[in-house]
Amino acid sequence: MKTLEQIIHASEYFFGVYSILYILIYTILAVFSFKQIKKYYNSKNFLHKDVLIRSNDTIGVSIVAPAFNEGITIVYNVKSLLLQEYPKYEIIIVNDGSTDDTLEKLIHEFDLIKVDFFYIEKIVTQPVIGHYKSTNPIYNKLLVVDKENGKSKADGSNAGINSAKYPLFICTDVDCILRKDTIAVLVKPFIENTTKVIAAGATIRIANSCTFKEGMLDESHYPTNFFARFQELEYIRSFLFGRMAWSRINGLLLVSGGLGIFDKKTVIAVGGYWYKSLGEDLELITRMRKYMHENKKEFIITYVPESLCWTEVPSTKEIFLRQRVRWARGLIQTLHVHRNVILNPKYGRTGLISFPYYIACEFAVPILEVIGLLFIILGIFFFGINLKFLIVISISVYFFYVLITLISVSLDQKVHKQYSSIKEILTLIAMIFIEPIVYHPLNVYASIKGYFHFLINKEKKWGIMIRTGFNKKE
Amino acid sequence: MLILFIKNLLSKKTINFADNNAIRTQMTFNLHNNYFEIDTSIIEKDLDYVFDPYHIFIFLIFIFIPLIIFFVLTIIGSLVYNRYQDDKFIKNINEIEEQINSFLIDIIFTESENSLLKKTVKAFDKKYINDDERLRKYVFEKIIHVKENINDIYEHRIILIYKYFGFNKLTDKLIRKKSWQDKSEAFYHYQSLDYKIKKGHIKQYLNSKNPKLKSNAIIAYISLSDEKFSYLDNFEYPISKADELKILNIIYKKKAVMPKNIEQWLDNKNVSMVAIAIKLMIRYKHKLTNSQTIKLLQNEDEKVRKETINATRELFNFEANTILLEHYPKETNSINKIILLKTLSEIGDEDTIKSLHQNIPNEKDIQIKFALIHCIYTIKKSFFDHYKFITESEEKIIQKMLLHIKNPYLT
Repeated sequence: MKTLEQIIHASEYFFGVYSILYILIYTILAVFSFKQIKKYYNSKNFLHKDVLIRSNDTIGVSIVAPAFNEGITIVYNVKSLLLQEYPKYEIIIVNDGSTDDTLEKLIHEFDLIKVDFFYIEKIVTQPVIGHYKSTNPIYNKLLVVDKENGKSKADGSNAGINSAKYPLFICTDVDCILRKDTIAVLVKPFIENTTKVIAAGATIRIANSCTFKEGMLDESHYPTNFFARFQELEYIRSFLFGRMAWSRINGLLLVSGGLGIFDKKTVIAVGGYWYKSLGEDLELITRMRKYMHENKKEFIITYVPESLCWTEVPSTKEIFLRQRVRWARGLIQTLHVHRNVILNPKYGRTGLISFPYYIACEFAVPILEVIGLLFIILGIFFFGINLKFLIVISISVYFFYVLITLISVSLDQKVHKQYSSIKEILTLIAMIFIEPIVYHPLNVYASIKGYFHFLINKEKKWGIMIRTGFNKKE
Repeated sequence: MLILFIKNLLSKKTINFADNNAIRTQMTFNLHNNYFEIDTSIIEKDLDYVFDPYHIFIFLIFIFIPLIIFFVLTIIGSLVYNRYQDDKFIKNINEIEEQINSFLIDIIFTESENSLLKKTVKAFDKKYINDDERLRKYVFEKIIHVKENINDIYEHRIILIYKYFGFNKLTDKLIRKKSWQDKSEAFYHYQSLDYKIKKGHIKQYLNSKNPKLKSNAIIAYISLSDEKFSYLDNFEYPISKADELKILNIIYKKKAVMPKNIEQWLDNKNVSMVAIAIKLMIRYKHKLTNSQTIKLLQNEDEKVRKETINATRELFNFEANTILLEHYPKETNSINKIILLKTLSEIGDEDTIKSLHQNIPNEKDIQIKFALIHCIYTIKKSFFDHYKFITESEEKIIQKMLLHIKNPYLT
């Protein structure tokens, strides 16, 4: 018992140090994020996107979008993708063994016929059944790949990459609505930088409650759904705060699967997305970074602080938790598979900064929170606890968390001016104060569950996302 | 406090913990010998020890929490205030948008004397803009938008409107600022308005050490020059892809005349300039001679070779067929090889097929092989009807390629 008491008391020491370091890290990230966003907007006119849109000499881009049972929204979403303002691109929709009428709807709407596409399997995937092209010249940019289900988005994406003809590809979800100039904005870093850019991402927003007109965002609204509201905050914090900060020091370890642009040659060289991964976007970037370090090639992975993509997020607890458990499992899986990177100088800042951060601040936090809570309970019941001190520490952490979120929201408002009214801003602010108490514990629970599933090697399932479709203004 | 704490951590120090029964437990850490000594006797709190929860408690209560709350409230206040200001601005704009548009159309497209124009502009400024800097900037952006998107606008009139509104003071202020972003914005104003007189203000930045400032200055300078290319005649520095696109954009937009000394550009040591020269020759449909083609294909830079091959195709330089065939085995860049084959499919003949078909069995790169088959098939569609394949697997692959090539929806 005394040993336990000693451990608990020693842990106060540890948690104290950890909290201070955590606060310091996030303060540094806040500064980096602000500087990077400022740098981006100051350089915006260096190469105006209209120059790319008007040029025949720009780089070609393939948009790869795997689709599984997307019958409800597939036609609308593909039409939205066809509205891209860019001179050289193609859209590759991969029908990943859908059991609904996804393919039939595509064939019917876009006058598709099966063609003898010369398919080179640069990345191994499940068998491809066929390729489809439109007989209507209006849709000549569209290519549909029909394949057997690979039980993961990774497999579908890889089949799309194999079929792509251009040197860059954008990987997105077929349910995402992209801004008209998405390709032009995402291609810019590849042209502007003299160092090779191998991947770039941009901000993804939540489409729940937004209205869309003719395949484009019409009005942006703060979500009304309970879960979507908190996810909006999370997305803002993650993209504008976290990713921009990491982009500044070229330490990004994640380009979202919802929207990311990649150098095709590099992706093929590392073997494409890993079909067994549950966090395939994180895992791919890790492998790409490793590849570049091992081959001693300079590279950049960057983020663009512009809202280019809108996607529907889980609106029920069941689907939300399933997604978060999968993400957590993907995180621990990636850290485990690539554990040789950790603190390895051979992998530069990936091994010395990015990976340690992900372990200490992303992976470890839910575990430490649970342990901390346990120790508090034990302390209350058996060993005594300094209640005043505990309350003060909790208030400090709570307000620091609120501050970080507010900084992110403030940056977001300055840059994007989202949402249609002050009332929505006030609701957003109220949610910021509720999030640490109501939403955060759910995330911790999902993370722990995900880690547990990884440890017991539970069968992987992606599950089905229930779509409601986009709110359309006619 | 943290530094002192860490220093103490590295040596033997006695650290006090307080519990809620006011019994202070003294634990002595010896990190070198790894042991604890615990003494639960009541002891005096010693303020010389840094890691004292009491210190932390005081720090949090009186400094950290108040500071954080202050920042939180400030950000909330600024969020709400800024949003309110934005909504007010948008409402204002919506109310007067019609008037702004009508006014701009009126003064830009209607001829009037300068004095009357000045009076009209001042009256509008006083009535609608006043000292609203945001609205002023909004109107300025509209003027630039009109200038950039509508052709055949009398430039001098736009510049007068720009001056009468006082926007020239804004630009002058920007160019005097230290940051390269502000100067670049000023260049952008001059460039958009075609304010040629201001070319001199940009000249001093053409050799700036800041690459982005230099790039923006060069683009603006070229844009404002009557002789668009004279500055590039002896340009020594590498031109980035971004600069190349911007330069070509200006040239296409301004419909500039091809430089008379373009062929001298082909001899420039700066390979970026050579590549741009070839692109311009394509644009102005000026064919390369055979000797120029041969010389350029020997250039070490793969981009120059690529542009040379593109020029041969785009300008239907049939005479260069043999030159390209001779170059094909020497080309080391696979993308250039594919482009070369694409070019030969446009300008090639029977001799091309005789030369190329021998490469079919030996070509291991599947994408180059595809381009090779595509090229031969395009020149002579019946070639593969009687072709003798070496292996069954090769036949299978080539038949698949041919099915793709023959499909009209895939080309």
